[in-house]
Amino acid sequence: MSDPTQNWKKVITKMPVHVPSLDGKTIQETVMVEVEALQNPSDGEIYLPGEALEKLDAAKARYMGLLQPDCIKELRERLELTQKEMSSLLQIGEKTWTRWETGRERPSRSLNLLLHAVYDGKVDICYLQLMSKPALRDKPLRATPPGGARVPFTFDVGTASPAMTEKNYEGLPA
Amino acid sequence: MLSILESGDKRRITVRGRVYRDWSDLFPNLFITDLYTALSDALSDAELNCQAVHGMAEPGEVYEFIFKYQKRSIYSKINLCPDGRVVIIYSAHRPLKGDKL
Repeated sequence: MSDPTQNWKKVITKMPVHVPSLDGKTIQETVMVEVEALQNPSDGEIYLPGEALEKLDAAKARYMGLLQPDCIKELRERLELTQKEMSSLLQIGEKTWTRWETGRERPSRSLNLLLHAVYDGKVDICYLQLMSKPALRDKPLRATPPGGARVPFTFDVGTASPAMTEKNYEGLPA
Repeated sequence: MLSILESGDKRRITVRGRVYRDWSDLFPNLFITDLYTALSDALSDAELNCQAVHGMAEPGEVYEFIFKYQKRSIYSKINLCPDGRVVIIYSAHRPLKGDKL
């Protein structure tokens, strides 16, 4: 038998999910989350399969206010960008973005603020484009209005910077 | 073992309940997937203090090792089950007997 846990007894158990303080150093709150676990018959120990661990991590991320993996993927798809292009815009490693989309890793709280702002249409993707690597600047991007409606974006960074700044920063605090 | 941990494949990693608790207590700001990264990074280190463990109830290759993560020493014990498809993480906590195995 390749997987010894296959015949272990399935049990329902509650596990603590710690919600960290904003500085990440202490526990601000602990919530109990019910998961399906496995019990080793030889010693009665509880083991958590991947599905349970995924549920616990998702609960923690939700309590921390982190954008969920499906929303992270949805954001990129809404912008019609590849993972590589999205990584360049945020100036992070390509693997990092990929891992955010799968839930293999989670964004830090500070990066999460930026992601939320882009997701909610509070920060225009054009701004990130301006700040990113020159190679990406020629690719037409779509603005990110709240609610996901697509707005064609035809601005060329190289030739129309002042107009873009005026248009896209309208309504933002100085 | 490394590739399974790096992939974070939920179908191939099982974690003892107390490992989840210990890791959460040690690093409340981290996720269990960060443990996979920590372990795969540690196992990639050629100078890792690591040894085989015998006599576990479950079949497979079991190793224990001590590594540094975020300036803390962590003792871990993991099992690569037969045919190399599943990893069981038995331990991930502060060393109970100092930094030597």
